Amino acid sequence: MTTPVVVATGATKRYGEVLGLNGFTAEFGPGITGLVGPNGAGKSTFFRVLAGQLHLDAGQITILGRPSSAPVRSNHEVGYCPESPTLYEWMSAEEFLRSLLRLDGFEESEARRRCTEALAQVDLLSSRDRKLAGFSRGMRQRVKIAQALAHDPTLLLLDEPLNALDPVSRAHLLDLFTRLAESGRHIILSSHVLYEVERLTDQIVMMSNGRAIAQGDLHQIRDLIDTRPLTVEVTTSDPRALGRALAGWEHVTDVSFPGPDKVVAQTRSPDTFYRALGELARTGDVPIRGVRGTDDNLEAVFRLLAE
Amino acid sequence: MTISAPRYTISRLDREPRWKRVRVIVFEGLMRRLAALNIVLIVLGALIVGVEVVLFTTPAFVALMSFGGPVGLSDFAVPFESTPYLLLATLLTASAGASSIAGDVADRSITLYLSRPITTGDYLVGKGSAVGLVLAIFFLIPGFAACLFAYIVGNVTVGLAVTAIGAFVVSGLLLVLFFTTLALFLSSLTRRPIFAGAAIFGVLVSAEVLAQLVRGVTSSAQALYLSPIEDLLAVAQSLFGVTPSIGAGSAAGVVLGISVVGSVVTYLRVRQVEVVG
Repeated sequence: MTTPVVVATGATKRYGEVLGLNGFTAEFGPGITGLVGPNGAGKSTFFRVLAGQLHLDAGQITILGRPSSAPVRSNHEVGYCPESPTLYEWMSAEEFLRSLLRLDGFEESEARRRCTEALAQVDLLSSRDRKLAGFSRGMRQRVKIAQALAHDPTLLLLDEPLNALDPVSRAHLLDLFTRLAESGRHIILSSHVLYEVERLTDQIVMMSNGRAIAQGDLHQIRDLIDTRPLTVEVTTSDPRALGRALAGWEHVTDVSFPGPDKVVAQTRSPDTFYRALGELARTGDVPIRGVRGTDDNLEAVFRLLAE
Repeated sequence: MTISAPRYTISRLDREPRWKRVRVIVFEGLMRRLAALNIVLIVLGALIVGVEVVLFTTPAFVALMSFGGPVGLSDFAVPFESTPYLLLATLLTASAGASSIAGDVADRSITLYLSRPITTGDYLVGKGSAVGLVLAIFFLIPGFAACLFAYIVGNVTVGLAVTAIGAFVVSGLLLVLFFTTLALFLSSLTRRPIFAGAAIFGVLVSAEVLAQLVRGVTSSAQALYLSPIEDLLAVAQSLFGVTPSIGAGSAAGVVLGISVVGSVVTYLRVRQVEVVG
């Protein structure tokens, strides 16, 4: 039996007449858990409550066995990467991290060491002396992640950590999160893109309108998703040939040509579609330059589960 | 089968004491608040204090202006009767203090502060100390330096110089306490530093205007208690041996009362701050 790291029971948070959390009840186990939901589902509100920055109107949340209303005691154990691009613009990356580590209670030499380590982990060591005001969005995102993990917390709260990152940084950070989980850290990571979370974990909690609408093994939820149509956009130099091939697949329900090098297909079976498309690319009969799956089906599942 | 409730052991690392963590907020805040505009205001304030004190304690100037009599403690109180000096103090408070909390809420850096293991009290002490230090540079150092300079170049005895320094320190500390509390309080009420700055200026100026109007209508000096600036001036004048228009003890009580109530309300207010958006 695994012990939950975070337990939310009927957690409710109101912003005036708007409900940020609406009786949110879920358990987050050890390792990595993905918190998935569309924009406005309440993911950031949940993280802010965990970080002690919002107070619940009803219900309760425990973090590592402690109530969320006692954040000061548990903040040593929690690393929080907020979604908002909050940085001290006038500082360099190193100054910024060091000052936060000093706030964590580390003495100067230890703060320096941890700062170097954290910046190396997010591949920003070469930019340590640059002012944060000049950082790109992707670099800012990495600095935020560095400050969350620099004090070596037990639990990492990462609110949309992969936003604005290029594919290389994204892959780098996914590996980093996996390594952190393997070394015994617990991570709760939010995203509105299910396929992003899929690479990291099987355990997910799905949110919609401030409530948990599904929780558990990703594959079970994927089975449900796979019953919904998925729209995939494929970039190719030969749309006519690709369209012909797609139209012959039994699970493809619609094919359209929105641009001179694009084909959009709708499929009832995403897994089968991606397998078949991979096979088609390998044969070389149809040149495929890119594939972009939209998450329209995920939205549909959210709606389905929320009903 | 038995099921037991989960138990966690929070690891305890050797951390620096809280006051050292608060020091980080003070240092960071001080660096931000020693911006160009504030340095200009501090330098202008220092010039006013320096020039006025040195002039009024220089025998040649005293003789020239036919003030008559030897230099006394009251001659050091000249800056506290100077409108430009008080105007600069108000501007500096608005400039250095308005963004202390409002700025953190506006750019959401308060999110990062409060995600660290510090309390609301730690945060406020850090912010207040940073603003207070800037104001202390304005209120304390020029007075101290001017007294020293007057002793070196003028006809001022050691005893008089030391007494004057003491009066500058006590009145300066009261000014720092009041202006810092006011700045933090008004800064905690909004997420727009410019509003907080305008409020600091507006509250002080309108209280002064109101006090003078009421005094004009009622012909009673008691109306001056309505203005914190008049209260502060009364305390300062009393310390420098000048008889103020209103009772210095009561005026000090008003200023300290406002400061204590302001601090408590600011604390309660910041505890309720929620970073949304």
